[in-house]
Amino acid sequence: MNDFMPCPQWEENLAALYAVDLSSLEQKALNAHIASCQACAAVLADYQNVDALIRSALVFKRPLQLREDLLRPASLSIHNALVFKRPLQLWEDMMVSETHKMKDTPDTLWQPEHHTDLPDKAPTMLPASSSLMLDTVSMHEALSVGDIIQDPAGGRYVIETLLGEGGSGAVYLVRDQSDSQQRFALKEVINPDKHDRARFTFEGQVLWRLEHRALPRVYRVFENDKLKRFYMLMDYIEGPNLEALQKEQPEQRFPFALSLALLAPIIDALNYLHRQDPPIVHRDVKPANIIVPMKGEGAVLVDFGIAKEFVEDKTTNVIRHGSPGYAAPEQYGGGTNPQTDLYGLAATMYTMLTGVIPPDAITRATRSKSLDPLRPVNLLVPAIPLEVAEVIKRAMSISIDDRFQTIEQFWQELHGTPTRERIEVAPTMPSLGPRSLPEQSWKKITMPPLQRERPEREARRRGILLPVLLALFISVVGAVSFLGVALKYGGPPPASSTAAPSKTPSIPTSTVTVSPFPQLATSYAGTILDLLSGQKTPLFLTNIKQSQGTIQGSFQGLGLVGPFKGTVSATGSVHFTVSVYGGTETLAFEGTIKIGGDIVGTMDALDPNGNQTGESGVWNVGPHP
Amino acid sequence: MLRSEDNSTATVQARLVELAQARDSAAFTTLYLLHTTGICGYLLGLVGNEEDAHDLAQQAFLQAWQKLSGLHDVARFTPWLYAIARNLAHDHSRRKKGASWSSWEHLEESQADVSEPGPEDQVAQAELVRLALTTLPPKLRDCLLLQVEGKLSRREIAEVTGLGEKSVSVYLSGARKAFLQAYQRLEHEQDVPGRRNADQ
Repeated sequence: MNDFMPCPQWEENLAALYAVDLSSLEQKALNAHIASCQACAAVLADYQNVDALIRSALVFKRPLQLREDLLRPASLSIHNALVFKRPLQLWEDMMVSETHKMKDTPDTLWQPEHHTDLPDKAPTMLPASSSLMLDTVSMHEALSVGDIIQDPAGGRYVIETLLGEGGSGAVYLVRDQSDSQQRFALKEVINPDKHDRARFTFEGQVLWRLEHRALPRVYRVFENDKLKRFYMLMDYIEGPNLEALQKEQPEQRFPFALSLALLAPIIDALNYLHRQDPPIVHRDVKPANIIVPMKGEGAVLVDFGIAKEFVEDKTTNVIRHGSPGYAAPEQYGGGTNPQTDLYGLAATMYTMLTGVIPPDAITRATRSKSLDPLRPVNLLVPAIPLEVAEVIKRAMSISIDDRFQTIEQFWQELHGTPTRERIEVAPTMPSLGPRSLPEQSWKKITMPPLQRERPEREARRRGILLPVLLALFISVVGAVSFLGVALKYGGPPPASSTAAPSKTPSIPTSTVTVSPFPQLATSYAGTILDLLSGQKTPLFLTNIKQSQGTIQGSFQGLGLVGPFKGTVSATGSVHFTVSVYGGTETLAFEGTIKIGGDIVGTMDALDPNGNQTGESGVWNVGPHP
Repeated sequence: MLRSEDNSTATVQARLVELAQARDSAAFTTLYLLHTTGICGYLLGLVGNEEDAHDLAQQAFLQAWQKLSGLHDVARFTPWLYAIARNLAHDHSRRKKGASWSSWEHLEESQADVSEPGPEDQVAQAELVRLALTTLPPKLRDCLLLQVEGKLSRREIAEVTGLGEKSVSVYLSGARKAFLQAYQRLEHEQDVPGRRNADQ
């Protein structure tokens, strides 16, 4: 550590370097000063060292567990168990009245009058043995394979497998006893209180009204009096979810085009939900909740949330709705709206494209904007165009107002961004394996805009080629162009399902426009301050080549040398990464171009999973002749 | 820990506090998650040993839950919570003999580890930091911990400690200098390889 003295006029502000109470103007002035004043930069480094030291020393070896038993027993668990949650606080009142209405008919809380897909059956008596068997199930136990649950209309469902289990219940795969071909997912809530019952029932009603090919259908909501459990009978969608599929991908991430194709039906479903009156907010959009049925249909948005959310330690996972990384900040405090799903959707896209789960919203929300731990997707995968990165980032804004207004708007932007060029599909082009498709193809894809709804059931029956091709894609059987897949999904159904011959994009005709990006110099020189060691060392960026918003060149600093790749935005933000130590670590630089051409910013070292290793620095460079 | 200027975040916390005041324990648990690292670090820095800090943190959150209805301005939750923790730490040290805020016995016991090499370095370093903190005058240490661990603004620190905002600013830079000197002196005395990455 150094013995520098700070400039007296800055000393006070240096001590307040967290800028908790510095205005953005003061902060800017401080940054500018530090960039040019060695003494103050050194003092700042010392301060930051002190703080980092203190923080690292004052950590409990045994983490504090909040004694939840001291708080009133929470209705925490039940919130997570529900399929979709209501968006409006207003409905609270309606629910109370529902509860009263239902008081007299505890056995059949709610059941559709008539449903075409699941004809009501004449009630049949359960064999005594089955009843007895169920009687022995204790209050909190999960049901066993072979147990039978009977709905008030007489339908009987044999438990085949436990799909997921949580603190408040479970989700089972069940078979209709009278028709063994019919399988359903049966969602269970154990020992619900009045409020939960009403909520569950109400949601059942809401969901029952819905009909969309990308949403599982809800058939019944009923209560088993003896067990004091609630059930929701719904479509069982068989297939891997996106989280599982992603693990199969090269580098565990999806190409852009395939991501768009996979999500297209989900976009459609979310739009459908949000168009309801009042709008329905899903609140748990994430890769694990998107299932790609292998039997000829597009992706389906489900929610088996309780299975996942309750495996983990409750004290570390108390977001009441949603999952860390995908849940929007407002989900930590209530007051969600359709833009909450936009956040989850964009976070899903983020994970699909990068293989990295975004940092959770509350961590992001509690940092100042300049310290947002959310790394732009193009920083993690340099081949992703800046525009795409920015659309995703905007959709994941902490403040609802900063996000796009609607899912549709987000989707349009995403399609519009990668240069305004058209893709042409030449059917006679040679085939191309998905792995060999250059990442440059990002720029050449223009997806058809959001697909308008088609008659849902019709589309479902007809099937869409996507999953078939996806299956081929996943198993890398033959040469299937995923571009073909992507285009086919949105377009009209193909004439025949043998359309596997691959297609590649033709060379697009580029449009010449005035570059909105600031032009970087060819070389920069300056210093980087390692905040861990407090050492300031020279930093050089040389041989810089810029093409629109993309930059690359050679990095030299911190005793390391290597190529860097990155982006520069129209607003003067600079991001680039350097892979070091044989690819086991990445140095991620973020900076801003200042008036006069200097670039000032921060550096974080990232492990292969994109997590910060704790090494960080502050750097500034100026154009070097 | 939530920035007053960051409207959306402050709003989230304010809403959580309102919910918690209406006895929504889930909302309170979220508040607890938001502040647990800060409160625990603050208390650990004040009392110097983990066991006591653990109990105090537990008590602080419990008191906060019990007294939450008495908090009139939900926007003041953060300083209010730290004031609770601070008072508990004060009472705790008053009960302890010597009226020092720190448990020296504990620190002395653990110095046996200090010279051992390898992964213990970090443990030794942590002890050194705690030791260095104990050498600071209480006011300086308090301000420093509130800023570093609690990420409180100067105004909030003033509110918690009852000091003037100007004094807080002075104490903050003074505290870092004093800490640094104490730490470097201790490091020199102990000859501990304190900062692992410093020489890379």
